[in-house]
Amino acid sequence: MSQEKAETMAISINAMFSGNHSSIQKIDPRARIICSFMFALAVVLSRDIAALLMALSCSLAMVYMARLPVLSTLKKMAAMDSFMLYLMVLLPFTVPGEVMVVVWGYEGSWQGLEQAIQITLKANAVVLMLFATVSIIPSSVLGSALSSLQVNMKLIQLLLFTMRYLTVIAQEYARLRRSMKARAFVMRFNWHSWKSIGYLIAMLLVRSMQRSQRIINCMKCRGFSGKYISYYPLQWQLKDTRYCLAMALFIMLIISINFVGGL
Amino acid sequence: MTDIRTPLLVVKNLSHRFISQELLLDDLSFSIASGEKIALIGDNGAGKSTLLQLLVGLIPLQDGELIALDKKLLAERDFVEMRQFVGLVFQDPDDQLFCPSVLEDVMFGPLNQGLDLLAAEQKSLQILANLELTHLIHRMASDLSGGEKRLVTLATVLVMEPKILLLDEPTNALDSKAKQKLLAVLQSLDQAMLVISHDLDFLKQLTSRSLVLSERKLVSFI
Repeated sequence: MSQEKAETMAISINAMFSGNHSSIQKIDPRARIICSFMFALAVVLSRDIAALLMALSCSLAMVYMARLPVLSTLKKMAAMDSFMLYLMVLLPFTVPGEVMVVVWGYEGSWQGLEQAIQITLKANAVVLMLFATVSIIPSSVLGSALSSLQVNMKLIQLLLFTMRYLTVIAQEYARLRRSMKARAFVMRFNWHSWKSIGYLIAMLLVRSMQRSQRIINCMKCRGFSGKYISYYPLQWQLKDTRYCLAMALFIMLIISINFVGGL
Repeated sequence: MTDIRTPLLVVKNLSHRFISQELLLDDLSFSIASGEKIALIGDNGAGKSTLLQLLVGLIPLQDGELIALDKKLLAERDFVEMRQFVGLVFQDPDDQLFCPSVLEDVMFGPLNQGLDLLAAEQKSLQILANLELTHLIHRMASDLSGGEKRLVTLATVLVMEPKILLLDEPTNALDSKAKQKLLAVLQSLDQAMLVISHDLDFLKQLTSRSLVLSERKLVSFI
């Protein structure tokens, strides 16, 4: 690709990134995807609490660098962590081990609590890292990055279509729910309610299938022949290599701490 | 340059049946000449949208003949070629706008026509500028208003430089201001058009003749 073309495309990419000017956003999306994947793998396989705390600290630092909106990020995390709260309460009573507490004759173990803490730390570290690095990639650039990483074209298209049509399906769901409410429907724990919700879900599926047929017709009308076209060619730079090296070192550190802890 | 009377698309004795064998369209014949703007009127369920889809080969032709630019359309590959110069604007803009941003949606057609990224981008930006939509280029289709969506769908088709535009209820769900803007844009275009609409006032201002589809037949030319 000529320099002039590359510059013009770079202008387009910059415009796509206009919503976020953080230092993380300047890193090549491919570097962020690969590193986040490796980071998630290392974190999920870790068992050492110190290593997990380090991983969480790294994720928090990345969130800070990515300049994510604090309130909405906290809200999203709270939704996930409310589920983790259940784990904290339930796991000690389901995992056998050294007794920590006895409630109504049921013994809670330290090992159960440790597992719950591990899972909570892992989930928070991985999700925060994904928020900071991958979630800020505009969907079109994400498509180009995945395509350049040789991800299956059909999977990329499925992902992009899902991102595009999720709101449309949500709007359709809201319309159907409104029309049910307008006819005095109130959700109760009875056969009629479950049947009605079943109809609603079936109708959403039918409409989604019909829409997918119309979309493929629209695509055919505009010359689509089954080939995915990458709109934003990406250019690997020195800073991307540096980012990958730094992340690789950190991931190796997490893995090493696990071994040291294991000894 | 093509003469105003040159038929771009000729439909001869076209008939179509549902899977149940019930007849939907019976022995339709008409032609669309270069630059001609035609209204297609009919009741709900008369088969207007089906006819448009038959014309671009989205529904297989059962009976009759289609001739585009003096070439008889027989197989899917003929229709693939034909869709390069016949642009169909669908009823629901959400079906037509499937890319993450407006610019990419407009670039989709030219890229499929074989243009490189830069040329496709420049051509798309030009069309968007002509339709005064430049401010929308990086917006997501789901964030657009009904009027904006309609104009963007038109841009996605016009960028492919079609000779004929097939418009399926373009004024659907548009307020009067958006409708007037769309009308002004369509009136300024040189392309031949076949427009389905229930908005007779809109059709009267845009088209020069009408085809009425009633009881499976094209009953009159007004």
